[in-house]
Amino acid sequence: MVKRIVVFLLILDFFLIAGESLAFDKPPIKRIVLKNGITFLLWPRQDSTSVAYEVRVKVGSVDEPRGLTGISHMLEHMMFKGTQKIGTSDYTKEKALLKKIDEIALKIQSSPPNTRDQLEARLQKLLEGIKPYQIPNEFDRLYTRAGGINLNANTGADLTSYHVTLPRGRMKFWAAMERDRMTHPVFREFYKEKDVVLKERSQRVDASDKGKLFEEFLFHAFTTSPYRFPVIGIRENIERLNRTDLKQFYNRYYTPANTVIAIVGGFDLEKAISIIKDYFDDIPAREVVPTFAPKEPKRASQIRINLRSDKEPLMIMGFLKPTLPDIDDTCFDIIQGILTGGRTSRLNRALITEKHIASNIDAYNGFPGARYDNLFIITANPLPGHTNKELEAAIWEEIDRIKKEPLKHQEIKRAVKRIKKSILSGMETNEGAAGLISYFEAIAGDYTYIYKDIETMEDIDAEMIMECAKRYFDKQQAIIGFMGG
Amino acid sequence: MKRLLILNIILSLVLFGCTHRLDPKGSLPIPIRTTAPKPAFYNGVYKLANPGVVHIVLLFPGGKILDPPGKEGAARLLGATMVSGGTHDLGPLKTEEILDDLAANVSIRSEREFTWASIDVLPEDAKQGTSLFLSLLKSPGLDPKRLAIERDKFKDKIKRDEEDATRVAFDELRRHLYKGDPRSHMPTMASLNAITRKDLIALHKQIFTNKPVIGIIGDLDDESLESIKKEEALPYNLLGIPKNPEFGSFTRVAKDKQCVLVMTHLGPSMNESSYPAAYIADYIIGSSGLSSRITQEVRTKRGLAYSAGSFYQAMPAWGIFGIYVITETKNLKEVKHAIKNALDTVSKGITTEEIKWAKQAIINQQAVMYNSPKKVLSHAMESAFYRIPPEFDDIFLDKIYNTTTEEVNNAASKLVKGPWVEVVVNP
Repeated sequence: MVKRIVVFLLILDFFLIAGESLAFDKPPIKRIVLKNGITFLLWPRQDSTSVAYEVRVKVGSVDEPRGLTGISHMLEHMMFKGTQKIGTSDYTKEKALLKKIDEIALKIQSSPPNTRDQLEARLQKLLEGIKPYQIPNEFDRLYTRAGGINLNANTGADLTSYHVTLPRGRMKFWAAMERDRMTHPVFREFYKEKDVVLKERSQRVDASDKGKLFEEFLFHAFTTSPYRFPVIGIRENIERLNRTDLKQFYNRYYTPANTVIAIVGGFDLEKAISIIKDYFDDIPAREVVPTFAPKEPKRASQIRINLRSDKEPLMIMGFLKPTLPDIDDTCFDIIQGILTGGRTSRLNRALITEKHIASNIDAYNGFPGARYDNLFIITANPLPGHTNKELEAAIWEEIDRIKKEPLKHQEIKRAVKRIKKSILSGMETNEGAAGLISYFEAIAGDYTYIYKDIETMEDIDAEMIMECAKRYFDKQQAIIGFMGG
Repeated sequence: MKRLLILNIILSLVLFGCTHRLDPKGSLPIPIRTTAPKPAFYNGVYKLANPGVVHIVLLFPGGKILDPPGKEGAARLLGATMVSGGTHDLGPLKTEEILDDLAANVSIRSEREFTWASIDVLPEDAKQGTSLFLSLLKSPGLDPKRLAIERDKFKDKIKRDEEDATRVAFDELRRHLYKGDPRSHMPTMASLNAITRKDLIALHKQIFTNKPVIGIIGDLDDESLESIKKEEALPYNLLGIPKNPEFGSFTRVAKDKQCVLVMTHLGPSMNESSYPAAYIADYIIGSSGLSSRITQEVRTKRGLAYSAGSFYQAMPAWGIFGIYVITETKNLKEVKHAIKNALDTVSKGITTEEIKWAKQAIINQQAVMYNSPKKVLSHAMESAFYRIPPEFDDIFLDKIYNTTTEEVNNAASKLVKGPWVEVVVNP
């Protein structure tokens, strides 16, 4: 999941870099903010046969209380379990049993392990007894029947996102489904789903040395920032999650004002506005509770992580830096292009073509999120017969060059052109466009940040990039992780 | 009477508000059926409009299946070396300088029976980009140093793939399902080491001198378009049904500790009359996501796995159906039991209601399945390669609509019955 967000940010970062030749026609996006605070971004594309819907809730692992890591991801799974109408054959009877299940589950949690057998047996009996009132996966079945694809969600450090693509002409159906999910969700089948989430953790982290390396890397890269904890959650924390915690977390963060929705595709704007008002305007407003995230301090010395592994080696280097809208964040977008954008980029040419020591090299700006100060990271795989150490030395050589020698104009120009094309490519699909505009609306507070930032970038020159590199590419401040090799 | 009617209307407005909100559990609004977008086909070229980036996409008959025996991986290595090795005249460094100046991406990727070659470029650079792209295809430099780099990258990828339990499982599956057939051959360190530059030159002649299927997204000038066209098509015979599948249970080990179970056998081809029924049956058995029988049984009811489902791929001459689960080794026995349970309930019968739901979903999804210009174009081009008539999709949807419960159950009972090629990684 973290990787997914990283890949997405990689695409998004292209938005943030620009140059003098960038002359984009601003898309015809209509922003509507309802009185309860839900923000809608509507982009009609008349000849499209489908419509992409992206719901972003401004909550992620950074908002999780200590001891409850993984709760935002668990909640994402539970949001597919239906509502008071969907997923049940008799909600009144089901509700009474759910209450009893919660009571027993809390008792089990607070009892000494050797006294739990009787309670566990009662819980199992209740879980069996509730089954006749539940219709598993009905929420999914309804969307699928209507022609929905890409019905999925993801949780990141910053945001939780729900998306689906439907044939055109289904907006009322979508609105009815999402209104119901926003107003009357029911977190049923919680305990089975917790097992699924634990299996997901096994698949992504416990069985994968690469997953373990990234988890360790973040934990050591940050000391006070909430970015240090894994989005999927620490196993012991997931095991202890209960429905009561989940409901409290939901009530605190899933508020209308914390929600941004982008709709892109084949629809009529006036009709869409009317549907949105009909279905979402009367949802009551709720207070938004801001998360307090302490600023990550500068570290005293370099940190190195060595994960023993019999697998093919991998290395990561990370540097703490400010997030948007700081101008240094924009400089790092340009640096990313200079280092790894295209075959002629500096690290590609040095490590792959000339020294022939790496099979892969990449750089990402804004890891693992962008709500708070974050990392610029470089990842690389050595070729057989070469080591992570050799790669590290070669990367430092290139970093030192950026710090000492002003960039060539042609390099900046290439990076900018590549970005221009990436922006256009990213907008080719309804899903891509909905994802991009909703992301910036949620993170930067305004999707037009994309264009404003482009204007800012026109003032960035080679000298500024060099100064930025000097400020943050500090050997003493680096976090370096090795897996194997 | 009229007064009473007006009163009724007013009362209903007051009592229920001005808006009648849709019940999502109610019937779907019409139209139930929308058709997928199709590219225009004019003068031998598939075309789609796009205001932004220009994509030139070529499909050349001949792919991995043409790898010489003992030199598996040659087609893929050829594609990678053509892209990085530059043109014959310019050499690798100059070629990539120009491509990066244009911000152009070139990709050459061999699949089983064909090879995709594509470039995407900004409209103002389309002419220059096309010219360089065609030079790469017609007279690639295949620079020896770049060949060495690409070979090492490929070997590194093979080593990394051997760690991935899912990839290991599917490779092993292919070995047994296509036994004695070139489709079962996989690249190895030895086969990659055996490939020479001369082999790549010969393979290039075999694939890239052939007439491609041409697709364009965006605006391309006539001169550039004409330069792409070729007249001659070499004869190419499509692959037939695998002759000697090796059924049974096989195990492998991967470094990633995840346990993967995959089981498969042959299914109806897309030209068989049972294809629509099998398509619906597979949808219900395991390919419709959370609502499918396998996912419900393994994931929702028992919490045994995060990833579980089925797949059905039909080609003009053959099809394969399979089931997969990614789990923990300690749960393998229970997972097998859950799958058996799910398949047993399928063979006892799928209800008319469930089939109705699946038919609606499949028909409705046609409008959104090809939701990007690239997907629309590649679907049309692949269909042309496989000589599938343009009206096939529409007829297929009619057949889905008209398929009976009995036909679906007949197809389902064949799909869930063995013999299977079963592979377990990290048992």
